[in-house]
Amino acid sequence: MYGKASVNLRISALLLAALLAGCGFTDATNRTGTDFLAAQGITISSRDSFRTTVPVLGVQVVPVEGIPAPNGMEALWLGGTLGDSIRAVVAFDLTNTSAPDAGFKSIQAVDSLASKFKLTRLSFGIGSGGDTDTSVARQVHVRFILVDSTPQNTWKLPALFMGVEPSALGLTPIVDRDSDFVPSVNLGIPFGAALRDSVAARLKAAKPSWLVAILDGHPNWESVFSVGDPRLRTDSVSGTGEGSFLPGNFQARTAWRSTEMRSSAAWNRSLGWWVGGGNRLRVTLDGNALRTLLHQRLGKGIPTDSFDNNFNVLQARVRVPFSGFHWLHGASADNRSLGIDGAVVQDSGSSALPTSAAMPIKISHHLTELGLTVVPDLQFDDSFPDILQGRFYLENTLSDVPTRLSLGMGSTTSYTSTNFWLRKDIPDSLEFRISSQVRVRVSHYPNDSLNVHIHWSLLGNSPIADPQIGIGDTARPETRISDTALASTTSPIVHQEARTSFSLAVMEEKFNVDVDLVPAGGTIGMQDLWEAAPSAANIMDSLGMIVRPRDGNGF
Amino acid sequence: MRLSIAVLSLSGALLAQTPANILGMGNETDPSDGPSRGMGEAGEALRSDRSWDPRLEARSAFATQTALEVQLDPSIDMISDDQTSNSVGGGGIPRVSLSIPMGRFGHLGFGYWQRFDKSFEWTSPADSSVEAIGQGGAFEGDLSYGYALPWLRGLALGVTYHRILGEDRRMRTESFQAADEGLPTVFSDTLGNSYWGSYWTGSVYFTRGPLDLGAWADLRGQATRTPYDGGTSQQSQEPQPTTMELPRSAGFAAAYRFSERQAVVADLEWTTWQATVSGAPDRWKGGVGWQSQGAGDRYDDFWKRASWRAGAYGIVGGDQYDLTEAATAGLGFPLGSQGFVDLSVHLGENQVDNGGPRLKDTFVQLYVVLSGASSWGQSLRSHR
Repeated sequence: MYGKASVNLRISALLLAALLAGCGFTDATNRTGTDFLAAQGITISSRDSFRTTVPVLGVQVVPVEGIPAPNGMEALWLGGTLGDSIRAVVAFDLTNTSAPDAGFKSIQAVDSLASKFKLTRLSFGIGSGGDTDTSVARQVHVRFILVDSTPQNTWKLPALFMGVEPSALGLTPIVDRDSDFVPSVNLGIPFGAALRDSVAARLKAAKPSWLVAILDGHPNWESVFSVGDPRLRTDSVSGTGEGSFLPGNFQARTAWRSTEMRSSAAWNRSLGWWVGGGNRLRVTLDGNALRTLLHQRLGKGIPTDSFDNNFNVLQARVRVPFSGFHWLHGASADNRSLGIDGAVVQDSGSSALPTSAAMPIKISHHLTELGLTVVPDLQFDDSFPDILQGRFYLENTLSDVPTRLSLGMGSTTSYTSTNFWLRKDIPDSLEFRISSQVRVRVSHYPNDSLNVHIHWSLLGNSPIADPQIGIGDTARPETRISDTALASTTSPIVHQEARTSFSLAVMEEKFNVDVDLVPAGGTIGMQDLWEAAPSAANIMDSLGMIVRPRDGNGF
Repeated sequence: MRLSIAVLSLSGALLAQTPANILGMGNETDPSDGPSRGMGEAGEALRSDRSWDPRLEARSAFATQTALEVQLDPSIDMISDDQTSNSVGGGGIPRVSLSIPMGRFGHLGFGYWQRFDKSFEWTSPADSSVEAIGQGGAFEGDLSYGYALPWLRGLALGVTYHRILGEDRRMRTESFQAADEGLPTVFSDTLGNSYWGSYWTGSVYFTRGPLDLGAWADLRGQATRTPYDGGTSQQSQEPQPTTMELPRSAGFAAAYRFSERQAVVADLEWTTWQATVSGAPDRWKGGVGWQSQGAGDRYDDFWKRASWRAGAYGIVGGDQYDLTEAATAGLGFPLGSQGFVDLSVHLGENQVDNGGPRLKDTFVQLYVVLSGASSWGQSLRSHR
């Protein structure tokens, strides 16, 4: 009996010992052994804090990352802000007999019925989101154009969608005037007799035609409307189904598109975000100058072939002053901020190719290194008037290729395919990543109209931005390009933490580090439009650093 | 009984780390079996039915019971230098082994031996945001075979294959938080080594009457050491594996059973580190011990069945420039009909004797050894 009881107690004790094993106690954090560890090379040098200029190799203005949506992919916007007009273009196919409104088109082709159900106006449903205002009429500049549906004329539609003026395409509007505009189902923009008769005649003659409506908002509106559900309506038929002409289709998508018509006075060196695009600022840091500075201040440790691991950059605060700031006044003022992300550029290349070229981008070996096994295709079609159409196709792509703008026709796990347009009458470019670490920029310039310029970069890492989390888990107000207090200020100053980017610049002895200043959107997506012009030649006019040297051979 | 429970309960709460572990390959753990821990780690030669030692496999050729042994060693170090002192905890699993007697076919042993330990923790007195930490260490997987020579009564030979593997690392972390930041950023740098290599040990054992004698020697062995760095910094260079000579040991152990239940033991072990760590002196470790063996069966009084042990050992030299002296005490008792618990306490002092800044640690180390034995694998005819 005695022995049995002892066993149970012993088992309990053993279980307790097993449970407690691994628990530890100490009377304090151990600080003993400092001199001993120093003798083994483990020393802690004091950190240094200082302010300096930002050494820079170059500054570029680059478009916001991503491929702007082609027609029919984004909402239809109309308005004005930043001194720009936001243009909405809608194309109605007057003879598409398979369209949902084909029956009404047939009615309009008969004289007696056409006089009974007269087309009277272009109207819109109330758009969703944004700064919608259904009660105040605004002046919009309206142009209606009839375009023959021959291939060579239909191919003018992309240029119209991209904001090319009709006159540049040899098109003359039937209607060209200002009109009141309210985004409403029952109100609309009147046709007028001339346009109504022209449409009726074309329908009766069964002449394949597009009716293109071009609506320009005024730059001073300071409002952006999402104008959904555009249609041509009659006086006597109400409702949303019967009795309307609907927009046609172009390239298998709805024939509408919005574009922001940049003012001739727009800043050409800016950071901003507008309908269908925006600007980033790319600063190439001078790593050699940074390293020289740090070595002079803090000494030089162990030299290495490719990396300088002598320093821990604990803090790198950049100061970015702006001389001007425009924003959409109606939207919240405290959400405009910029992100600073940095990436090591391991390789890059540029080439100018004929606009008719259909070639694989010459970066397939890098993609193979990244685990993608196919050659990406980038093809161009120069048969559209005043625009250059490109097509990007990549098999086995990642479905989450990072982009700030729409990828057009979408992506799947097996391929990404999208087309894009570049205007040929003005310098135009777009930049996108075909993997998380391969960046491609495609540009076209009017003074080199026969070529398209391709610039690609292999990044050593996905661009990294440092968190700007302040006290209480809120964004540090110094990181915003404008907060509420600064809403009326025209020269805001931003202080951003960029320790990762500058650490990379210090460490990488063989590669440059590109730092992108990226406009951040607010809470209402595409309508949170703003633009700011930096005042410093190098964008970032000063840098505050806290650096601790890594020590000798201990670490 | 209550005393044993109290000791067991305390054992889990004690743990041991000293910055001295940064030296060489780290703190070296002795592979002694559970009973030997209480006898100044000098009981390698004491004949046993169940014990196994990776160095002296030859002894196990006379074992009759299959035994699984697991060791835990929570400990606490009181570290001091010329300015400060502190208590820190540590612990580990120094050994797990399986000993399988195969009758006339000899004996087979398998073991895990956490031979080196680089654990330590230190925070800069000048800046509490900076901390240095050591972790890991090279360990061994051991496979041994022993055979009692049938034509020479009491004599056995053994051989052990030691596979060295594992990795150690030391890290520096710094937590930095600016005044206007809600969360700190943690910077981390790591330097480490991974190991892969092997060596052999040959052993001989002789037992007759009250006297047991054993000796062993390592053959030359090599390991590949691959350094690496990581953490916040990128690799500064491609990891370049290098070949390193492993330390080589030779030792001698003796036991004399001067009564039916009592025995004294002694051992002496020499290890050369010169080929492994340049400039490191040879390491000598010697110990003596005593044991009073428990007796009786499960119906006898608990204390009668308990084994009592005591001993002492000392270490001089090696890659850690040890100057160590320690006293040990042990208690062993059966756990059920086939199990055993061996508890040993080591109380000692260790100094780094390399002529540099002084660093001393006084340690209290508890070994909790659980073992289970049976006659598994043997025919009834081979039972004693």
